[in-house]
Amino acid sequence: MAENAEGNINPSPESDHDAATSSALTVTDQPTTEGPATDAGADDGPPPASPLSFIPLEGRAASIRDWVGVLVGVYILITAVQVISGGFKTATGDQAEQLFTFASNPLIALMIGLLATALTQSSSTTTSIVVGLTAGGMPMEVAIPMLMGANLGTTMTNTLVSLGMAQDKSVFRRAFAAATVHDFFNLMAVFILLPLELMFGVLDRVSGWLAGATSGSDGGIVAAIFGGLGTAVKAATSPLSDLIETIVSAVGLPDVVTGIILIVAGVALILSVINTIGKLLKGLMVGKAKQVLHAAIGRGPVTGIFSGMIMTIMVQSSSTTTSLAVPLAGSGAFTLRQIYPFTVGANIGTTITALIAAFGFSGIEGTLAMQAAFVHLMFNVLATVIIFGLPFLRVVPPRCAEFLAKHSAERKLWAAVWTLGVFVALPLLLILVPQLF
Amino acid sequence: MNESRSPQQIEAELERMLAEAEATAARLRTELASLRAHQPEPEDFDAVEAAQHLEAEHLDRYMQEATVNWRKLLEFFEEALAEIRRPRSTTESDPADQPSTPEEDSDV
Repeated sequence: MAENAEGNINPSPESDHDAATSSALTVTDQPTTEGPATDAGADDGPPPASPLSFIPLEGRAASIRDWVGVLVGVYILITAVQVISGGFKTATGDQAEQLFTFASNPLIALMIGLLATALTQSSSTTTSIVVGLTAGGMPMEVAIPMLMGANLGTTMTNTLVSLGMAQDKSVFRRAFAAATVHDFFNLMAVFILLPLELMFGVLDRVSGWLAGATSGSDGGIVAAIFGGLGTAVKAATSPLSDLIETIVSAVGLPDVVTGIILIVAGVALILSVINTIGKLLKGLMVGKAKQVLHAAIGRGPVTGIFSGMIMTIMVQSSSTTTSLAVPLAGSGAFTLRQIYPFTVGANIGTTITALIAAFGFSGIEGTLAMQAAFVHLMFNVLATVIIFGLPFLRVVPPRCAEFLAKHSAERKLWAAVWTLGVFVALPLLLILVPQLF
Repeated sequence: MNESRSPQQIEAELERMLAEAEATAARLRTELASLRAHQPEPEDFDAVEAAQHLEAEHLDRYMQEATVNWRKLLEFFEEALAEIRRPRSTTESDPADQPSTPEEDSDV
């Protein structure tokens, strides 16, 4: 992922574009070969224990055990999303639209998505829940801003990781910049795409077309394949989700209470299983992730984007990938300009989880669920194309991040105000104020 | 130019403008020298990439570190609060708050 300093020649085929694009960048943004936070000879210690280490296996058998664990986790994830959808339908009956009147203000829906993700520290959890709710009848006009908010909320994790590196000023400056470049990118994405969506329905139309192409009855071979997969997945997962719904309904509580219990149960299942899947995949894929990173070194920003995307798909967590970029940047070996495309790619990679969750539905529910998943995907793809594709927009996030990091290194109050302001105060304000007036 | 000014005034004006131009040129030369001093030589790129490959080998450690350290986070916010309580003049003279080095200044 190495980029050239201004004017230097790099044999990478993307180097000319990189040099032109980076013409406005600082010449002092050079990677250091003497990162203070790393010790080349240090023992990294034993790898973390697998969550399934209570089943004592070693070597290949342990890998198989962990892969089976991942499959079971995905199975439970899809089942949980179905439970949420069923719970939502039970709780709301035909009144889903009325229920979400309070969130018809897109800013409120945006902040709900942000807060939910900030609390759970998992955009995959929020997007999976939104997919389930959409399949259960939540209007797409509410789902779209919520998915944008989920994108924004997930940047909180790597920002919090960087705050833990504040002991050394220069390390903190690099680490905080690497974290907040993601914040600024996602903020810009919302500022650009939310108004476009409200005015022209860009994401609604594009995702609707894609959902129709992949799950509608007239979508041809692609829809047939997707439809077949969806039917198979639903056949496998429906028994368990139906069992859970039957058990909760058998208690005999009012529909609203039953529905809420099912939604809470589904959310709890998703939270626990996504965490477990992430830990399993970290252990299974770290070798492959290293290969991806090695292959990306010395190449341009497009390779950086793809490496971030692939690594995120491997570990099923953009929080992991973007948080991983923080100590990498803090070490001084990678510059902000190299970390930046990596975190942008992570945004795209994390959309795979919502797509997986959407496979648990078929028919009209399947179309709606797939549309929600495609909204998340296309939001991030379009944001990348627009912000990263246009040179005058591309430089904005790193410049803002460097400005904020420079001042935060001098006075931690800047970082504290940023973190609490963007992820706590502003969302609460935007949610509560319209309710009061 | 004001034709009512004397030749001496015009000369003084021209000399002032020349001095300003020379000062600007000197400043630009200094900046150019600094720019060239910070440019890595082509062979340094190999060292940079080697360092990056070395860091990539520590990826499993970084993955373990890529989690929120709540204790350090609490300490951070406590220090931020302490900054608010600390008088501004004390903050400026605090040796922990040394100005950043020129190499770290981003010329945005």
